[in-house]
Amino acid sequence: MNVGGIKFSPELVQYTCRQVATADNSLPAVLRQMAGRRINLTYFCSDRDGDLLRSTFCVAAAAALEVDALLAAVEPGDGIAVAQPWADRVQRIAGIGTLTIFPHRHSPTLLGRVVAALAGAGIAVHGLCTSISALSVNIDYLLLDGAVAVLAAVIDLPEHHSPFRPEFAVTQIKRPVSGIF
Amino acid sequence: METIAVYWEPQIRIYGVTTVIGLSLYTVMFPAGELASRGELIASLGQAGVTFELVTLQPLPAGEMRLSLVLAPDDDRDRQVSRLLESGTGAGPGSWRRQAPVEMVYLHGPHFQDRYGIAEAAIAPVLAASIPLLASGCSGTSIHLVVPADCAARTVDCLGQTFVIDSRPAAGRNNG
Repeated sequence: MNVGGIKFSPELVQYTCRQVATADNSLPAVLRQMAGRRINLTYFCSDRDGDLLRSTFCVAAAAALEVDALLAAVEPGDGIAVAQPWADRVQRIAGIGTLTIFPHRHSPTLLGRVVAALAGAGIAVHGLCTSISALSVNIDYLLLDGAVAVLAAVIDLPEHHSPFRPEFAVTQIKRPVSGIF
Repeated sequence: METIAVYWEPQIRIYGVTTVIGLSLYTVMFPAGELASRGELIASLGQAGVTFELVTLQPLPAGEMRLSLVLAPDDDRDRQVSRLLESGTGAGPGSWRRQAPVEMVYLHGPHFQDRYGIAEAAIAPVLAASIPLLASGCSGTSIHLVVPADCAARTVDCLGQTFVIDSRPAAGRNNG
């Protein structure tokens, strides 16, 4: 199957957390605090366990200690008792790399073959999410190059593909004070 | 080498909001060790003519995973998908379910992936309005929010609190 290209993320840490009660508002609290600290989420997805929201997000490895501290400090809400410490409630996977394949053309065939090829080669898939045109698959960062070799059996890349790894990093820095411009 | 470019907007600008109604949301739980066979099952959906609107896969405790598939409306196709899921390896009763109809709101904007605060701007107002968020995906340059029937319009209203909707088409190639 022809695709337009593949790109790799920098090294990330993946967190998966679930509400402990329907009134648990820790997710918006954590998102707000991460935004306030200018921590970028390169990946976010959610679904539901019955009435409870389960979400997975990724941040740059350099931001992970700060996110750990935020998660340790966040309270689910008034009157909601939490028996377990955050480390037992949150699945944290370090050394994640997102492999992005584009375009997916809304094709389960591409998606399924990619997943089957990676899993069949023993490359653990820690999560995936589609965007409007791309398929983002979270695997071990150190296996990104190996994954491309595996995927060569199911996808065809353009002849002169640009480098998989980003050649520059974009960082949004502090918002300027209103009125300067 | 470092290049600094200055761009400032008081409110996050996006290229548009699209609503799709009448969708089906399938969720499938399975052991992580079955991912290869599940992948083959998903591929067979494509061969049956199915297309997806959104797919997410999340890890669960105890070595399980949950796949969420949002599919375009089509009764025949829904029956086909149900049959395929039922015939999947180890897919016993209760390992998958279908919720329909559901609605999806998606939006895309400039360089979401490189900017902090985008997920918060999209998710927090929806949760604050007590709209049940059935599934969501935020990667690349787009955000997808899946909500129950008759909730998409309220969701769009919520997004209007945090985003400025620009009707101009996105320039250049879109890599998602």
